[in-house]
Amino acid sequence: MNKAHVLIVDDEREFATTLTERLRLRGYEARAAFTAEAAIAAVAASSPDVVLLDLNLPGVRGVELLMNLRQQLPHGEIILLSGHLDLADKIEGVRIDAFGLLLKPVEMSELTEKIDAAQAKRGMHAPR
Amino acid sequence: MPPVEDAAIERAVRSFAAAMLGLVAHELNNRLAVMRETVGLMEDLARAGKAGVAGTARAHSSLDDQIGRALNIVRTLSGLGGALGAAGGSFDAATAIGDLVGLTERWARQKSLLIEREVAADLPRAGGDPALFLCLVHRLLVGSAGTLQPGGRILMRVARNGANIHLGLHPAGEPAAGAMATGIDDDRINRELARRLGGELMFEGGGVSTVRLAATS
Repeated sequence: MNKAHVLIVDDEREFATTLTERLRLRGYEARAAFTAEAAIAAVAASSPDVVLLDLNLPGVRGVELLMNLRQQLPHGEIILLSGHLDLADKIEGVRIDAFGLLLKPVEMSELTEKIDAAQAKRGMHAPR
Repeated sequence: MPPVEDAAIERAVRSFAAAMLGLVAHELNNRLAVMRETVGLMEDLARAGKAGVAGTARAHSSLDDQIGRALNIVRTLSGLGGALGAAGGSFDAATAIGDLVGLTERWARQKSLLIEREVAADLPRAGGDPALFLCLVHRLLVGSAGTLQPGGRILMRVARNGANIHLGLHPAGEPAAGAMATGIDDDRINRELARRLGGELMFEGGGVSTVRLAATS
């Protein structure tokens, strides 16, 4: 199985760029978007296999962005990654079919396992 | 109008405390996440034989910045804890508001909301329970934010007015679609919080709300 193409969406630039570099060192094709607009543009341009999405981006309701990305990316998987997930986000995230929810700071091994599992699920449902 | 029960006030204060703890946890988690990724990247690069002096220096600078930001949160939290621990006496309204604005910074950023302060010099201490004050100001802040579209601003103006201290919240910006005035229950609780502080909550035109507090000196 090929390593996933991962889009990291987070307004914490240092977090997103560092994580991007670490995933690249592990063989993933990774890129970062720091705003909702950049995330929507990146998904439209490159259809990533897996999106790591922070639900707390400035100026946008996280759940709305999740729904938007889900519509744009019917066969991709979205993993929610946040410094704090309230119950409403969790319930809504599951309802909109996010692949998983991870709380920062996250262990790299846990994250890559989740990404690989998302990629495997994506492969089963929508082989490229 | 029926009186506000103690239980409703207790719920409001608990809800405020929960909101603050959530914000602090969120912010500290973010700082720790950057630190963990930075250290992880240094290890990854060293393992791959790609660690350079410039990259290491950059990582150290990033870690130093994150530690500084985390310390600021802890200091603000300590200050707030000290103020809350002095419940029932008097408090420095300007410091309490400063701590509250510091802790709500991420929340405001998420809402693309600018919170500004204009605090008169040499304010006397205010009488009352600081926990009730912070709870009230937070509720008013959240209520004002709900009436604004992203990009709005709220000016918090604190000034002496005779034997009183006035805190005014002045929202400015495009009104949010379908924005409603504060609900009747919220309004009753807010007025009761102000009353229990020995003061009063007043509403003016343009969404401006003013809390009057009694000065202790």
